[in-house]
Formats: sequence, structure tokens, C-alpha cells
Amino acid sequence: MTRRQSSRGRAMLASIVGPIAVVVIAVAAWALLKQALGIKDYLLPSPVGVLRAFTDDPWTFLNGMRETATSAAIGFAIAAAGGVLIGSLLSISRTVERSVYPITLLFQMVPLVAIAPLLAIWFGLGRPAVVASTAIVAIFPVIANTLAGLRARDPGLDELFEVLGAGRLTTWWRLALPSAVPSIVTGLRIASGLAAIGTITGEFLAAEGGERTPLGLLIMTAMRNFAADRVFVAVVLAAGVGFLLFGTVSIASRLLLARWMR
Amino acid sequence: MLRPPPSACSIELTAVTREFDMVAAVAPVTATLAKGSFTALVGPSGCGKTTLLRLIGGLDAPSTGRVARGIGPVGFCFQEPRLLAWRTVLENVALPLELAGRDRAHCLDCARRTLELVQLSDAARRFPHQLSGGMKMRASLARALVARPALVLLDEPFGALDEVTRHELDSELRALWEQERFTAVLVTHSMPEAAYLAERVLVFSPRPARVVADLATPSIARDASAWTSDALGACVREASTAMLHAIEEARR
Repeated sequence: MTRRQSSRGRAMLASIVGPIAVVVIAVAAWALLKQALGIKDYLLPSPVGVLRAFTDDPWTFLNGMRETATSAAIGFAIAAAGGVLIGSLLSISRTVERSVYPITLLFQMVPLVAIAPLLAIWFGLGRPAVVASTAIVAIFPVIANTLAGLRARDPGLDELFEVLGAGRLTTWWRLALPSAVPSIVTGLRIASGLAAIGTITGEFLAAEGGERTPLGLLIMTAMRNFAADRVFVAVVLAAGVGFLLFGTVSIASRLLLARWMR
Repeated sequence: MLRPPPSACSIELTAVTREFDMVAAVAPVTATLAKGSFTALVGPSGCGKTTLLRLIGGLDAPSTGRVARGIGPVGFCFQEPRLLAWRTVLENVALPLELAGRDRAHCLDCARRTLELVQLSDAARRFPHQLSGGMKMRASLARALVARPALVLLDEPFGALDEVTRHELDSELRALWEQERFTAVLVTHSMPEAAYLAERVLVFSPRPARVVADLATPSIARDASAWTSDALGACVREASTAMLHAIEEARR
């Protein structure tokens, strides 16, 4: 192993150990503060209490997590494909961009809590509405970054493709899209973080209970029952879904970007 | 090393002009560039010689007049290397064939042989950002040559390189042309480079470009010593004088 590799290994180790240490310290502080100030369990459960709430009923939570993660992944995939497609279409001409781009901004501007009930009306309670809410929240950064990436390339390269007799579609596929990849990947990473938020919010308002109740609905139910410990379990797992999606996208993008890295 | 070259193509310029926003960049230019010839277009900066090259290459259309050239692939070597950052050198060189719809194995095979020609085989698997300026231009030259073009257009390709590397690449380009005999048109502002590389030098006036001198360069052996030969020196002096006259005339 060369020195460079070993120092990279050390850096990776530090990037894992560091956050774990911070979490351990935070949890310890939480337990100590609760003890010292005598906060009631229904307001703030102890870390052990949260753990117990999970171990008492693990499958409800794990199934809920799987349910939420599936919705988040599907919604993210739709946002990724749709965002790249819409961004590409917008890049066709400045006129199209100027007339359509402001409308795509609506995805960003309209609060999700305001449209989620509409989604429930259109799609009914259940997964389709939740997936739609995920995609709506996640799509805008993909569109914006795709468009920016497609616009940013050196016009000299377009001239090269013109000399070589490439058509518009070929130029898009062989030149425009590859040169936009780093920018698109940035958009996807932002979108992956937003997707989990969109899923949980969608589940608050449009999820369906039953065999596999998703985390968002578990949070709502636990809240109505003043079961703060169960709310905590669901929130931690919801954060886990977000990390999972973000981590997967980050690793995938690093592999994809190997050719673009400087 | 390679199969015999496809028939080079000749170029016929008939009273070609080009205006940008009512400003003439190219005054009527009439010239015939023979099949398999190597012509240099020289002139003061901004005189319209690059515009003329773009007209010849079909990247731009003349305002009036006619540009006629034989059919066949055109190789274009720009001032900058214009390599695709996400492709290896080999894949960059293969690009023209790939875009022409050839199968991948054939593309890479031709690219590999062309890289040998420009002495860049060692760098085939590297990415553009890992190359020096000279190596990038070699890759760019290889890409211009890979489709065995009938016509190669060079727009000050080595202008940004240091003197030594530039001489080296000029010598190689000249040798490649002697071997392949494509029709070559070079735009440069360096008189010695024009005299060394080309058989014929067209000297242009300041904007709008018109031909003020049409010189044949001496037929001497083009090796390293040729750079300082008296015969080329005389040609350079003649071309420079013609250009200076044209510049003075334009000022009047």
C-alpha cells in the first residue's frame, strides 16, 4: 500500500468515526439533560425508552421503513428521468426555455402541503399519491441543473460536431448530455435529499394505513396518541431513508463520474 | 503503413465574399486550390483568413460568390484542441468515424493507427487533462486525420505551443502530408511556418481579406535545417513585404 493510499484510508476512517462520535456525544447529552431537568417521558423520551419502543414492535417500524423507502426510490427515479428529459427539452431553444421554465418553477414554489390533498383526490390515498408528492418535490433541482449543464459547454465543441456532420439528436447524446453529467449529478444529489422529505410529507396527508403503514403515517398516529417515543423511532428511521437514498445516489454518481473527475 | 489515400479534393473559390452586419470580412476572393496541394493563408490578425477557412470547410456560407469543393470527408484542426474531457485520447480520435456510423472495433483500430502516425500511441488510454499542450494538439491532429480526409483544414493549430514543440509538430505535419497527399489549407500568422509547411502561400490584405500575393515556396527538403534555409528566408521576406505593402495601403 502506498503512502497516498494509506492516507486516503485514514481520511475515510475519520469520515466514518467522526460522525459516529458526534452522535454518541449528542445521545449522551440528551440522556443527561433529561435526567437533570426531570423532563416527562411524554414530552421527551429517554434514548433507552426510544430503543425500547422500537424493540417492542420492530416489524411495524421496519415494514413502515421499507414502505417509505420504496415510495421515495420510485418518486426519485421519476424525478430523475423526468427532470433530465424536461431539462433537455427546455434546452432546445431560448424561446421554449423562457416560456416553460418559469412554469417549472411552480414545482419549487407551491408548498407541498398545499397540493398533497389534491394529489390524494386525484390518485386516492396510497402509494401513487405519495410517489407523486415525492417526484414533485425532487424534480426541480434536476431540471435546473440539467438545463445549466446543457447550456454551459464550450460552443467550439458544437462546431466540431457540426464539422463532423452530427445531427441534433447525435449531438445531444454524444456531446450535450455527457458534458452536462457533472451538473446533472449535482442536481440528483440535491433531489435525493429532497425526495425523502417529499415522501414523508406525502404520507402525512395521503398515505393509507393497514398491513404496512409507512413511517409518515406512523408518526401521525403516534403523535395523536402522545407516544413521543414512537414518534422518535419513526423520525430516526425516516432520516435513515433519506441517508440511504442520498448515500446510494452519491456512490452511484461517484462511479459514474470517474471519467469526469479532475 | 496505411492504405493509399482517397482522392484528395480541389477547391474552387469564385468571387467569394462574406459580410457580418454590413461589414465586409472577405472581399471578393477568387482562387483555385489544386488537388493534393498544401496552401497557407497568411495575413494580419483579424483580416478574415479564418472566415475564409470556415467558408471552405462549409461551417459558414458566403454572402456572395461560390465555394466549390470535391466531396469526401473534411478534417478540421482548430486553434484549440477541442477534445472531449470524458473520453480517452483513443476515443477522442475515433469520434469522427463513430459519428459516421462505423462499428466500434473499426473506429478504435483506425484511431490506434492514426495515433501511431502522430506518435501518441503511449497516451492512447489517457484523458485530455492528463496531456501536455503539444500532446493535446497531436491528438487533435490525429482526430482530423483519422477518417482519411480528402481535405484537411488547419486553423493556426500550433499557435499556442512553444517554439520547439511547434517546429516538431510542423515537421511531422509536413511529413504526414507528403505521405498522405490530402489537400491541406493552413491559416497562420507565422510567415516562416507558412513557407516551411506549404507549397503555396496566399498573402491577404487587412480586412476585408483579398489576395495581395500568391507565392510558390521553394521545393527544398523539409527537414530540421530547412527552418533557417536561405530559400525559405527569401520566400518569407517576399510574403512579409507584400503584407506590409497591403497594410500601408489600407492605412492610407
